[in-house]
Amino acid sequence: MDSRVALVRKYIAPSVIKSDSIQLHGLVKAPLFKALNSRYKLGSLQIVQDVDWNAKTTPSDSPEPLAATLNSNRSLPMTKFPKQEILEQVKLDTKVGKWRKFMTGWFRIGLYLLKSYKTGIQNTLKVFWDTRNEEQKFSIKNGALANLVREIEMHEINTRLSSSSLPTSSSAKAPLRPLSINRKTLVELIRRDQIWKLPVFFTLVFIFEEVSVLIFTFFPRVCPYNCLTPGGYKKLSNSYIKGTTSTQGNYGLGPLEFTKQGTIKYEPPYAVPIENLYNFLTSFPQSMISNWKLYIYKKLKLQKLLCNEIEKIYQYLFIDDWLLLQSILNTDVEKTKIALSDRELVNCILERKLYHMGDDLNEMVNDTLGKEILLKRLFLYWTLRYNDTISLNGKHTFSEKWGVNNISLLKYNSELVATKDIQ
Amino acid sequence: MQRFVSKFVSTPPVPKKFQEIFPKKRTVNKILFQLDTRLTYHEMYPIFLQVSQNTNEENIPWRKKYPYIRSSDIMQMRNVLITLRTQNKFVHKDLLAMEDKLLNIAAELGNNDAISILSFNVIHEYKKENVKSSYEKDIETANEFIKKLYARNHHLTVKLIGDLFFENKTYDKAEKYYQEFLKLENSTKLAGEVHGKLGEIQIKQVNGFLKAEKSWLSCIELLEIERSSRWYFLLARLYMSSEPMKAKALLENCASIGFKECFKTLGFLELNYFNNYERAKEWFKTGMEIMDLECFFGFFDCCVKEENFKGARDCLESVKKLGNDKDKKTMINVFLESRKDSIKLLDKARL
Repeated sequence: MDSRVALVRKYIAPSVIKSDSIQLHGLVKAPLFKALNSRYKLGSLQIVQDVDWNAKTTPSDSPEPLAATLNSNRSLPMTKFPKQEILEQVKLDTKVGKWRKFMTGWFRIGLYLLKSYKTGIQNTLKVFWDTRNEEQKFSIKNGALANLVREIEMHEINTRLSSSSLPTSSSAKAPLRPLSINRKTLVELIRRDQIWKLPVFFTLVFIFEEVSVLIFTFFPRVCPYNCLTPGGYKKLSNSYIKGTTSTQGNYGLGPLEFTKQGTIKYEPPYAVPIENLYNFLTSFPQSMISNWKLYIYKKLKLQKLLCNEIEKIYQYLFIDDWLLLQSILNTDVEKTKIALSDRELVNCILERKLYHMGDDLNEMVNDTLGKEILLKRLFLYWTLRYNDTISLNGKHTFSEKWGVNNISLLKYNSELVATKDIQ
Repeated sequence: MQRFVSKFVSTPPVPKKFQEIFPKKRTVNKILFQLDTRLTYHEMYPIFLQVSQNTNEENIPWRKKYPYIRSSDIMQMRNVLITLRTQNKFVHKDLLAMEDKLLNIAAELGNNDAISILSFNVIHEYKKENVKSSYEKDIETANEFIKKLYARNHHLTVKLIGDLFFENKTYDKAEKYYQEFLKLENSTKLAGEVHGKLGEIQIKQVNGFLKAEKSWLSCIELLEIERSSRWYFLLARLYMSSEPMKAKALLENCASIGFKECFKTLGFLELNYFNNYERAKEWFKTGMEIMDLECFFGFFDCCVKEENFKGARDCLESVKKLGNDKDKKTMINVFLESRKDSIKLLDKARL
């Protein structure tokens, strides 16, 4: 049989997964982690705050054009609410009488909020409008993700076939060919569904005006994603992690299991009980399916459909990671700089469940040490998954390393969240 | 009138040998319906009979004897035999000879398809048996025929040229001819076959897998499963790590016509991915009947997971018996090494 077809993976699920030890120190020494870390330290990877990537003119010193296809700030919530700044401004404003400083301050905060809601709604509409053509091209809900995964897999096989000598594992090599979709389009295609929250949201804002912020703080799921305030976001992130972090069997996808050798065990989606699948899917941000549908699937015990959904999430994370890693590692260290926006960083951490219960991600990203902690978690996560895969620095394809749709990778891994020995 | 009179004339008895090999009227009629032939069973039967009896040297004036036949009917008769062969998965020597004779007759009657097939047969044989002087004349005529037919844009010839290049591994040229064929003919069964082969060429190209997938999909849409099982299987392999559900459905189709390779794949897919031990066992059992070694391994795993220790022990013993074969020895050793823990468990259970 032809070699290329032969390389398309034969289904043999590995009983023992060949991977480096999950121990943290093992991961820190891995070449992929070193490469990522050095990129960050050299400044070729930067975390940038509040730049409008959609603006037609970009600041002269900023590192786009890559960043413009990497981040989609408009579909994500703000990371910092300038409450103190506004109050400070009012305090210094001489035109405002002393007796009404308190009132004016809070009034301006309210105004700021309404303004941010306005831009949020506009952006949600824009995202929906701008992605309408891509939606026809990539039907995300019907197999487009699987197609993209195949594209990456074929790319890996091509790399393996074309490289006469296998790449050395000492240095992390970056993939070369871009995928048929860029990251911004991918994430916006997933986030465009937020538009269906607008009718309820708009009505609530219209009726309650400034007070609506209280409602959205207590019920953050009503609010479109990019209109969330940091407070609401924290509540939301906590509710997502609540069902996942416990090591008891009935939370999230269940506890992470290891083989005797200490490596992560292979687990297909069909081995997970329906209750756990449902728990995981309802607590995944930017879910691709509505909760009432999931509830019906659970009640009618339609395991197949639930597994389908979880496969989609697995594939989405894989493609997203691949695109990010490609952008970060596939650049000349000296010439180009990659800018990842703080909002995207927070979102990455949220989607991959790399935080503790009670962590305020927005606060962390605005603080130097916190930012480094978040980045380190993300790097560790990537290293665990992608170290020693063909498109980065190794010999195996991703599905060879982990097996087909290995659900263990989606489980909450408390080791990755450990924040000790930050360098 | 002729038919009416013929009823009163005593017909020579049908030889027993022919009765034995030729299928029943019911079966043939079914195939005739499938192929949508112009002639009926009664019109074809005497021709079949005659073809089976005569030798190649005899020269029978077909047109005079059966004024209603056309050369395309003879080809359809040949197709009847081919369909029978693929459906039954059983080749009878005499029926195969009959196919050849029918092909010769069709060529004599001036059927382009038959001429094309015969010409290519000559070329194939020439290649197999190296250079022989007696062949050279035949080759020349064959080449001439092919050139003329190609100049006329004869569909089958274009496809067969593509096939020839495909076998010689000159894939660029093969692709060119296949594309040419698809421009001429796009929705027939032959086009389905071409799509399948085109897919195999495309997957060899860098980033050609999307095209290959498309080709295979149209192939399995056009062709019946008996003829397209290979491409079902290849498509399933392509889908395996991204969409196991689709791969499973495709493999089940393959298994329905007894495609040997797919039993173990299906078994392992059910065992490891879909966690359906019962079904996995069924697939492995089928695979074990054709002595597929990997199916024995799979069956063992199934039994261990189901804690059916007796079944596992029996399976292990049969595997050890198979170990006498030299080719299989290394594989079996690897198996025994990797399932050490399970085997220990079995021994404990016995105690």
